[in-house]
Amino acid sequence: MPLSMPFLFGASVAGAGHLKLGIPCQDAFACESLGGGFAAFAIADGLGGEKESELGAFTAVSAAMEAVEKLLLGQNPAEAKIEEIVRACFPAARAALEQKALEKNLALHDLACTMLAGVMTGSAAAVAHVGDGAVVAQSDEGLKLISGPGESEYVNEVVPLTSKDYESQLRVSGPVPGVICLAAFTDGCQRAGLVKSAGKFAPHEKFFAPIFAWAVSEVSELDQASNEIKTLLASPKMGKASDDDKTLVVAVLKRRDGE
Amino acid sequence: MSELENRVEPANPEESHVATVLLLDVSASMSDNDKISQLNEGLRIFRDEVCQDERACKRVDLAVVTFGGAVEVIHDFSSIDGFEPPELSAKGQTPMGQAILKAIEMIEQRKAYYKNNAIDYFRPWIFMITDGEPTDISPESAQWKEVVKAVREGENNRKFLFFAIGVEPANMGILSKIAPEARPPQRLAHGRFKELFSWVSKSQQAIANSQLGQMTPLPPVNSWAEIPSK
Repeated sequence: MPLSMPFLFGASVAGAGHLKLGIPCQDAFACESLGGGFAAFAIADGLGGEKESELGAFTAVSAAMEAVEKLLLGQNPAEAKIEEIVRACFPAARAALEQKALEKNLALHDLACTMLAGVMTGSAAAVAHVGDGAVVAQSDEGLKLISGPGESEYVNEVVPLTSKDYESQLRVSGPVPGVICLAAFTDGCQRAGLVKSAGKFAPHEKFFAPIFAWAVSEVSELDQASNEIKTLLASPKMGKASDDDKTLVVAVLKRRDGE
Repeated sequence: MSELENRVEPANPEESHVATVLLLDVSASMSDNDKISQLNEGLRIFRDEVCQDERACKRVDLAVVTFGGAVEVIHDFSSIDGFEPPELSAKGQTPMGQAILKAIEMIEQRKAYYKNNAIDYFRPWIFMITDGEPTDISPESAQWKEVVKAVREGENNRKFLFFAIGVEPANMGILSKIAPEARPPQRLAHGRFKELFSWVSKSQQAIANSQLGQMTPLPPVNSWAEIPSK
């Protein structure tokens, strides 16, 4: 039975650097086709060096998806303001982190994580983003970077969702029209998937074009597709680019056969 | 290899780099008590230990500036595996002010190089090791203000990290007036050059091995720093 639009799949793998040190995977993600023509994803990367950041990533992602589902209930795809809905899941995720910190008697920064969330309907996508990682789309206008890593001069310095001024660093993009397929990923995939040109990030075509072509034309079963992504992320090819944890979620919004 | 793995080509840009300047006092007093020999040995330890770490070896870019009589760029920036530790000798007075400004200028130029070549980088480091106090600037001079401002604004505006280490008989009071307020100078315990340079190498390895988006704690300084008595 052919997959109905939109459909999503993805995987997280622990990086070789983490495995060597016995640190668990600190990335988390959720992605779902929500019915009514909507779909959503959330991905989070727990900050290394913070003692419960994998719990933080999981908590943030769960709360974000729950918030998005509630906000989309009863909404009409033609009228829904998806950029406002995706923005609104961040305070919900932050509140969940604060609650978790209280429950577990932790400092909030122990749960530090970045987060990327997206809501899609039809062929439009809206993304909200704190920290690093990125979202790249294949659209009617070609390959584009919908949301890039946050502005930071230094590669190892990022503003997490637990930061007191995270709201000033929250970037909301969209709704972006004409999206055929998109990929959202944590920073473990950045060196593989992004290049810098004139100081700005841009998608690396030789990385994304094959993934999008495969997703749009060949994927017929979601578990199988997720496993394919997992195998890719765990491959030596990706390990050479980074030994950090890696998460990649792919969303297909329309197929070339007109579905 | 999976089908998808076969098809994709990761971008794999250049490794991220960390620019480090070792700013070393080689004034005449460094010949006392074998300090200059210990400094030379420390440089070899530092280079060898960092180079044993495969990733740090690719990421650490090192420059060495000395101040003793004159300010001299002994080694301009290169990958650390391109650094051959010299045999430094002690001479002259202590032009620390000019040396600090030179190190800061080199850091900014290195960052410009990274930006122009699309190379990601970590916040750069300046390690200053001195056994005295500056002879080219004094608290009453205009250049004093320039040097202190450059160090403190540079640290506060996150342009670099500045570490000042005083070796006996360094004037720690004067060093405290120059070093960043959030990172006061540390006094080297007697004869602990090896431990100091081992700490510097471990710190560099920690940063070089940190992931994107991850702040990294530095190792403790108690292996080499003199703990003030109460």
